[in-house]
Amino acid sequence: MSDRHTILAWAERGAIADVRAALDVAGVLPAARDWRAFLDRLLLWSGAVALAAAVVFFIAHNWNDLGRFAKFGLVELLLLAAVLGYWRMGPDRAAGNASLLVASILLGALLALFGQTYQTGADSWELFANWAALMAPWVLIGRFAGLWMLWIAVADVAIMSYFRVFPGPLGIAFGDEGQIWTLFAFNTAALVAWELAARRVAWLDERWAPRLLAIASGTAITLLMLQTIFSWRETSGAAVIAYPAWLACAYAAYRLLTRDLLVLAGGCLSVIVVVTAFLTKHLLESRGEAGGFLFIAMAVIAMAAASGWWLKRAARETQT
Amino acid sequence: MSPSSVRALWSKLASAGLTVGDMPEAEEAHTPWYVRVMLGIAGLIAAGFLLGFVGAGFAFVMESKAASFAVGLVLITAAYAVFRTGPRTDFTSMFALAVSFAGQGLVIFSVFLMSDGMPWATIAAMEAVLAVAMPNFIHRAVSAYAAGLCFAYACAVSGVNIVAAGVVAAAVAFVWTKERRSPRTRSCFAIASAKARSSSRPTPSFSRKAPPGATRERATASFASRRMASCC
Repeated sequence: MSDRHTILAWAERGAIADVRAALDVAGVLPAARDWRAFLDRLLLWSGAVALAAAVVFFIAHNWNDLGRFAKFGLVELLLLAAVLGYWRMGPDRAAGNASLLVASILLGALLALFGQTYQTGADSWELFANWAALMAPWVLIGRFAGLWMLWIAVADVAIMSYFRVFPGPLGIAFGDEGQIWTLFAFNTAALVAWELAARRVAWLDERWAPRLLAIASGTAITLLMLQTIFSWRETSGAAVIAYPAWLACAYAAYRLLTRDLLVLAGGCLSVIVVVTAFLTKHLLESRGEAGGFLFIAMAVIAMAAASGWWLKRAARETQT
Repeated sequence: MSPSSVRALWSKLASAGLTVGDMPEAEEAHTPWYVRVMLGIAGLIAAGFLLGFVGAGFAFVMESKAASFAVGLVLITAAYAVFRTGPRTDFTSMFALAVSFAGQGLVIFSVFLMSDGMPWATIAAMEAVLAVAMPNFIHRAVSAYAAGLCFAYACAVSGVNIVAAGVVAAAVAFVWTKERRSPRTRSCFAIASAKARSSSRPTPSFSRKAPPGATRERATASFASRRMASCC
């Protein structure tokens, strides 16, 4: 609980005479300096992303009115400007990182423009794979968590597009199971690598990125488990072993080794969804009786209440 | 926050003369936002099954607009009663949350069937009332979000979608100013009086004699005048 929450909780119980002055004394109200820093960051990042997106939309909207050279010239010029911006400002300033992010997005726009102009016949997965490959050197030198997350997202899209074109023997047998397994493996590997690297590398130590990776990995394994529950005969059934193993690893990593309640809350939600799916399959599929619905609703409420109690207890341990 | 840092915060405020009485005992830990999101999603899932229960067991409720509206209102009222008077356990709050969501589902269903005019505006109004009335944080958050969303839809349908963002932003700002639970009118009065007497300062004798309310008003006024000075 922050100072701000503590003071507001005291005020609700009538222990604070002047809440505004108390917040001021505790130094939790943002000063003009804080607002300026916040607006600076907000405008920098939203401006950078909006600029990169605007280039793509500008070209798409004026596709027939712009010549081939004008289109390539525009994207390449901006790409060059973004790279020069990074070179001038360096990796230690936020503006430098934003320049490199814009350059990386524009690189994807340039590859798409190339494929669209010359109709290379390449599949969409090749575009994303090439984008990820060409971006990799910048990601490596950038020392910037946001750029790594962009790279992982592009690689995720490449994996998804690849399986749409080449379902492979697994895909023919098990539908899109192979695709989700690959996404699960990739994001889990990225999560493990991130958590291990963050212990040594200071700039990787930002919680939002591994949390997003944990959500991606958890969503994938939950989907696989749901597939196994609802169409048992058409799936490999490996999720029955992998899902409990994933839960156990998440518990060990985020409850015992370190504390990250967000991942634990996600794990609780995943368990609730999986148990609900299991009960729905076995209680409601053959006959949708009212008693079955009521039982499942009560089970969900009980599971959620137990999860809330457990997570709050863990939160209290973290605070003391 | 550790207990020692809480005590340090209290003594800092006490030395500034801003505290009343002793430091309150620590209440239960502040619930992080993602735990609340998790509980909210679970509440929606449970509400879906409760609606399934009503549909499978009491089919006549779903078949009649008036019956689904009435049962929906009864469920919402029951949830309110549980929030207000029931035991404050995790299970009862989750139960009331799911019952209220199911009740809202029934009311929304019947509103869509009954009104051919402005269903989104009606739902937005209902959710806004629930956001204020329901004594539960997750319920308030979900209802406030639903009210904003439905209001935006209502505006889009009526062709005035340009209004939606401004009105919702103004509502958020209004609620934000209420965060400290200090009466809005009093602070407005304090700011106005501070403007009128911007150079005057509260004398120590006045502060000693004045009732607590006046002292508080004075403090707000002096804060407001400082703010204005810094703005100018």
